Amino acid sequence: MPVITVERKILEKNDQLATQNRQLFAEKHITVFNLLSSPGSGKTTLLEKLLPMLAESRCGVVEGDLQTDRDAQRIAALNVPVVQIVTNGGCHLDAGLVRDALTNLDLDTIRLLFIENVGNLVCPAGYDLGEQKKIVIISTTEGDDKPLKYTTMFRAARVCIINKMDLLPWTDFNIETVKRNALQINPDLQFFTVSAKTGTGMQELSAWFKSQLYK
Amino acid sequence: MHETGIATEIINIINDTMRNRPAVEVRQVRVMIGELTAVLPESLNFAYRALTENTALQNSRLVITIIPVQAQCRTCYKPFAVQEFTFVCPFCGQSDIDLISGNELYIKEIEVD
Repeated sequence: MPVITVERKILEKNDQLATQNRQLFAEKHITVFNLLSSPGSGKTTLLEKLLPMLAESRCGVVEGDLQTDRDAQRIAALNVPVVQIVTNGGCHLDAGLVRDALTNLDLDTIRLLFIENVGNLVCPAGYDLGEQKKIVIISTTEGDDKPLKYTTMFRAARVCIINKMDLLPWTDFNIETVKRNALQINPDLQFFTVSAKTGTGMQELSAWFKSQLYK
Repeated sequence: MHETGIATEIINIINDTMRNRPAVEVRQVRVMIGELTAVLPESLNFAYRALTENTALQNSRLVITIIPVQAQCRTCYKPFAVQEFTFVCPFCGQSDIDLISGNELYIKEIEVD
């Protein structure tokens, strides 16, 4: 049978759009983080607590959800510019969805942009959105072996936020175990341990976000 | 379930490649998938079959090759297979390594009639 050589990346279109997004963010001097976690690990609550602490950093938020704009409403209540992407069942955000959403934000007023991805530890890992860093969030009510089960995500992330530290005494979650498991997958991973609910660790985390801004 | 999105992109690339070759029919599409991409071959095949039903590609099939995770140590420079996602050199124990393979996700070639 005749063979046609193709040698093309399957996600080439997404990668091209992500590169365009990245160029746009660089031109506008916007630092962008892609927040990834399982459903229910506290991404939106973390943002609700973090955004007022980062008010001077002029934040914006892109919310990705399967259905509803409930998360965007929670962010909008803080007077932070927010745009909701409803994927209608799609399990991840892609660079094209983010590009379209950006037209609804005034990028000239934003220095720090959080993209809250769809709650899913598998699919979003492979889709570059044009962010500077992927941040994975895990909570103490999950298993501390999760890094070993979701290797692609923990490999793709640069930062790991461990949330719900206030609940630690009531769980079998071991901080040292989760760190050891995650570092086995990704030796360069940086950790923050926080409780968005009580505020533990949040000063350190917000200071780190400030340090990531364009000077 | 991102396999549906990946199957859609595969079909787009096939159609783009075959646009100027209307007389030939696609038989096999050789797809290379790195182990780190977390793409399941069974799900990808299922999505491809569902999406190509009653189209010009309905008689074609994917031939999927899984590429294992390989790395090279930056300290002792020995190459090694990454076993069970442990990114540590088995020879000298260093975790400062370069990934050689495992992140691939591409169409290598298309076999036609």
